Amino acid sequence: MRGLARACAGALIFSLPLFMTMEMWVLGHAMSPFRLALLVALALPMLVGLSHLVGFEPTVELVQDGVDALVALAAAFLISIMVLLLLHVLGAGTSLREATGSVGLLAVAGAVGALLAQSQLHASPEQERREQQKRDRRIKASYPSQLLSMLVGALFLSINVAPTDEVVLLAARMSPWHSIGLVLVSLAIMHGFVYSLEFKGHHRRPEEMTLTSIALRFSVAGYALALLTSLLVLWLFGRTDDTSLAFVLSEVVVLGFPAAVGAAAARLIL
Amino acid sequence: MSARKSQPIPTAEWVVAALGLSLTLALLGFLLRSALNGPRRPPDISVAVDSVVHQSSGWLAFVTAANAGDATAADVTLEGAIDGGSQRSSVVLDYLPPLSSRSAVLLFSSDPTGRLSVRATGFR
Repeated sequence: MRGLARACAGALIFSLPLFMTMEMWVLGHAMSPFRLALLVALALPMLVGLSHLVGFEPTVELVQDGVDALVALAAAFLISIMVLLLLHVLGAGTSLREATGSVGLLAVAGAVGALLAQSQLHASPEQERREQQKRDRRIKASYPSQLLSMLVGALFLSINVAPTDEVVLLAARMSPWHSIGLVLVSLAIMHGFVYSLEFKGHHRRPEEMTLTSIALRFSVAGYALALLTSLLVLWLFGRTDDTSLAFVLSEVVVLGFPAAVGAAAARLIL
Repeated sequence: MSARKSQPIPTAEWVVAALGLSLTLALLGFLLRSALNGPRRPPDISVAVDSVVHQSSGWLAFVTAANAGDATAADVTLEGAIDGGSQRSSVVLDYLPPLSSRSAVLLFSSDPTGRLSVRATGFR
């Protein structure tokens, strides 16, 4: 029960910017139902993985992770419907098709928030202790789970930014030189985060610690993951339809900036 | 510390790293090529009528605007005229990126089939 309450709080805190973004409600019914369904289908395994990384409680088995992911999703659905009703985005004149679209989209984003909140909203000493265990686990975390952390972080921030018109506007205003600059800065920021995490109190073998090795396996791989996530999100929201490759890439670079920061920060937070 | 950590880096990690590096370099290469590729042509917009549909409220003309230039046009106004101006209708596209197309609908109260001419009248 407390888990559910905490999940609701998480969905609310982490997703409030999205609830109050006009484009988000519109995209809910304007985006293709097939892509919305795909987003939900892709979100489920990702939420299960995320639950394994953070979790309502230290999880040992897949079933528990699955249950936690579904609880997060349920909390996010509940919060989405309540907030949208309260803000009168949904009302008497709303069709079922429109409502399911908006709520579904917001619920996916909210569920990520609900699970992310788990790693941040701990209170009691018992939970503090678990938090510490999680930190220890993270240090030993496998490479795939580190990639998953980065994916979740990238998806979370890019979903928050992607619905806004500003992505298209910025892509239109920026010259290729600006884009190149943004790619390099995103990489540098990513590497800054990674560097600070990798070098803090770890005792790894020198060959694992070389700058090139860390840069390639975490910074560059993570940035590429952020770019692919941005491309996926742009496609889900229909921002790539009937659009030239060059312009899509500009959009990807623009959205890749928050995605890269999200990916890098996720490894610190989760 | 533990035995696990003293193992060498798995090949899979290097494969992912190599994929990431090639993607990032390909992106940079593409951007650099467009940056160095001469002067940018201004938006070059053409509009075509795709189809006309009759509804209880009138006629819908589906039009597609394409931009053959190298710059994005914002707030593109499309105007359709029947018989050179006996009835006019217009619509605004938010953005028309380079080498891309966007669709819109113009509404008419009489059948525009064969009598409709469409063009872009302005953009930012």
